[in-house]
Amino acid sequence: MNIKHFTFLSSLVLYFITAILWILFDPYQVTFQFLFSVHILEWSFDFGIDGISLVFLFLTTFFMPFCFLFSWNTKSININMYYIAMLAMELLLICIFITLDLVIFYIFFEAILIPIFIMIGLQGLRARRIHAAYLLFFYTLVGSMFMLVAIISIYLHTGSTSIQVLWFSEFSTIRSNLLWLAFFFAFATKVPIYPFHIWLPEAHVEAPTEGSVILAGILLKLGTYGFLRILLPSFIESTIYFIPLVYLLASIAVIYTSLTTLRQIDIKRVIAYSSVSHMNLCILGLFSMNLLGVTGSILVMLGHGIVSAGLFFLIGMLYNRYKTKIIFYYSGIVQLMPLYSTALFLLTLGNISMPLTVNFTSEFLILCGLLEHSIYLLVFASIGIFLGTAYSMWLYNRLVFGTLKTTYIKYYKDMNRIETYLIIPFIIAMLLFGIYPKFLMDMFIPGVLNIII
Amino acid sequence: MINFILTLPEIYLILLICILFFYNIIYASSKKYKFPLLNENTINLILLAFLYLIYISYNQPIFDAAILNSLFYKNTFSITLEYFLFIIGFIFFILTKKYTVEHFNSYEILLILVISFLGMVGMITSNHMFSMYLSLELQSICFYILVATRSKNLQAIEASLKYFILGSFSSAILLFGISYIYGYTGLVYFEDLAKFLMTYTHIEYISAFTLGLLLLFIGLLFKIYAAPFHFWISDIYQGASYNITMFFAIIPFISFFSVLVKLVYLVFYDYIFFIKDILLIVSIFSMLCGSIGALYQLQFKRLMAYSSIAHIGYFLTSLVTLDIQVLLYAVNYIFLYIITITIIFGIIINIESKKFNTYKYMNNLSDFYLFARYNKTLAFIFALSLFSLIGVPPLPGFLAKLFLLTALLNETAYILIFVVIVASLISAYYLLKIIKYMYFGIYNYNLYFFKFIQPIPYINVISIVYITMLTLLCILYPDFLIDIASLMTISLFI
Repeated sequence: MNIKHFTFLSSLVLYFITAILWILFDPYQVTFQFLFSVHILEWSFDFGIDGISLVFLFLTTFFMPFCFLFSWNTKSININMYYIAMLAMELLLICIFITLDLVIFYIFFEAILIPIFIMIGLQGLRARRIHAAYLLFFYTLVGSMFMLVAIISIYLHTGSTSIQVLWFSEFSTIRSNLLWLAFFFAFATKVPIYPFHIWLPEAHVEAPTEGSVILAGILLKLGTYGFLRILLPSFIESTIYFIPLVYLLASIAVIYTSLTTLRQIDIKRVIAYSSVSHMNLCILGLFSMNLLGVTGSILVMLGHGIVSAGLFFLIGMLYNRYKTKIIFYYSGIVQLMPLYSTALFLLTLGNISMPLTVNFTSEFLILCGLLEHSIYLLVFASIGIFLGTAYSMWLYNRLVFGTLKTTYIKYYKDMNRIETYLIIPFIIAMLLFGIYPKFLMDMFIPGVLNIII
Repeated sequence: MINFILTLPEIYLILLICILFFYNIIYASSKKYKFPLLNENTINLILLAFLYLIYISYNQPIFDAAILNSLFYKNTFSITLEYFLFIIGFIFFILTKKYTVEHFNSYEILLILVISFLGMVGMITSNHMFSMYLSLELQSICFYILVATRSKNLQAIEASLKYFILGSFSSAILLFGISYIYGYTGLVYFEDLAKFLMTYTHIEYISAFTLGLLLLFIGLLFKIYAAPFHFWISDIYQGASYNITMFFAIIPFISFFSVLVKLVYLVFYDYIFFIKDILLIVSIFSMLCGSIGALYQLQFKRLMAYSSIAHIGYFLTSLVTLDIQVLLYAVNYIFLYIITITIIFGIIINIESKKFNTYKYMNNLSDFYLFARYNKTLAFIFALSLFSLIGVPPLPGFLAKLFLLTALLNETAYILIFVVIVASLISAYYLLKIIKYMYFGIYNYNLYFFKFIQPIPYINVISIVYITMLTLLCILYPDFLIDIASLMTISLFI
């Protein structure tokens, strides 16, 4: 048994544990469950999960085995280190999603930079990858430095770093606003919200396929998870005070990034910008501060995670065959790659939030939630969704239909068995949560109610 | 008798110097052994002596006592620092043994190194302006000679001359300040000065005393190359040979640190606010100059010089805020910083490539290309140490930074916090650059350096790995260092 088998098996075991947790989880209990605390000398750190963290745990452990499978047959010098970095990343993510302590949250939030830095730096092929890794590292480091100061300030104020204590502690208006801004800056670079989004397309383009999958699937959700866990429940007055700012930035981002996608030449860049757009829609839903909106945005996180991860896998398959991601070289691949085109079609439908997919449910809920606040906001969000349809169909049309460009690519090879079986679970999950999202919603709605009220 | 027991490490150090001197004179001029100028036995002897020194200073009775007519004073603070100094010295001699034997053909360098240790011990325990000044001079004169040991190198000659002129200049300023203070108060003992300043409250802001204080601190800040007085240090680092650079990077920090802390917290505590603004500016300047200056460096030694300037800025925050908690965490910070730098230089000094009798070490940043491929263990440790210097959790450097920020925030020193954050973010850039070269280097680069790489002694690798593991244990057991630091800081105020 070498490292490849070991890491793959351990990711499967983690998925199995998450499934058991889901079974044992009691959805009608409002508080945190499976509580345990770790004592290090005089400090004790609490861990526990509620419905929201269970969704993210499921998302994390769902992706990881596929990431290991995808690079099953690749041969590289640094492949062992690459596998270890991926497994480390999974463990760190799980730690983030189960912790109830600000310091532990910060430590793992930062520590995740080391494996993702190594992944992008080691496995990318162009020299530009180093620039991308730098951007990723620095944007997050700068943002989270402010979070560190905020956490220390909270500790000095309340005497505890527990998130549950933070929920029930009061701050003066100025201090609360400053803390809100510090946290917002840290999470907004991670989401990313409009002025801080430059690192994401770069990182996506240069990262290996698995890196992109993890980045789009889970790492972006760290920001929104932070909003849900820390920002919204703790600083309600400040949130209401700053809501216009957030709405402004997020609605600019939705439309701006959707329009930006239309002038990209790189397939991965298109998907990257589309994920910025989706995440900003999710932010709009989160800050609508009502049950419909927040539920919808949690579903967007799940749905966007599944769909964009599947799309990145599909692009990775193309890239592994022909070593290019430029749209110009591809055309008419439906004629020789029917399976691939079908899978891409289904996931593109997911990306444009067709009914029956999870994205439709979630975006519909977000629009309903926004209706309570402002009709203009609804218009902006709808324009964003409409533009999403436009660029997705444009991309699909360019890639799949048209005449074959045999001058550039001579041989076409459809998906092999490992790739087919890898993409099917994503399609199933997308449709399942789209057709019957209730069993998922039942799980996290008590947690959402806990946050809003 | 109590004098004898408490000064045992110093007496032992002096004895060691005499023995080394006679041993080398007799041995090096013996015809039978073909006039060996320097051999491993000398270093082995020093290592043995340092082990014994560690043993003695560990078993010293811990109580506060003035010794040798109150010229020196021993308490937990000084005893702990001595102990730490000997441990670091021991590690230093282990790691540089191979380098010293290969590159030096005279025993004097080892003697001078040991003599400078004597000066440092004197500085750590000093309780009198003159004992402090004389030990400082003993140390400094040794340093001037140490820089000049690579006498055929133009850069080394330039560096040593620069160091000598600027060092003696700053010593003169220091002495001038001491004389002003003596002229105003008539006191030279630390304790007397402290008691006098505590009770006498009529010192005006514009007076000879303030001038003396200012000159004294400028002299000391010159010696520890804090920012406006920092421009010479990068040349010194570059000019000196590698083991001397390592020595400068890790060891004088301890002695200067103890002197500054003693002067600020013990002696001039009640009147330090006269020059508090200047210390604040120096601290901010050091952090910014150090981190920004390092961005443009292409040589590792110069980069580390600027990095150490930035870290001196972090340490100086403890002198600005005048808070015991900040001091405690600054002590903790310095312990972790020195150990990390020891690991970094220990790796640098042990990786050498030899071609036709010319040795090369990793100095240009391009030499780091794909270091990770040639020695996975050491490259990993090197990367960990650099990440620790950046302050990425969960490494020990993060703990140090976290505690320091907590203490500063408790003091509501918002300007300092902002500068600390900005400086550490800038320093992340150049430290990451080295990691980038090590791991992701350009593949078709001509790997001239690693083609002729020499095998590394087993004991050096083992000791580096052990030190790293011990520092990593600090993550799980952070109270260990903090307990020591709190004992030290508390003993200052009793």
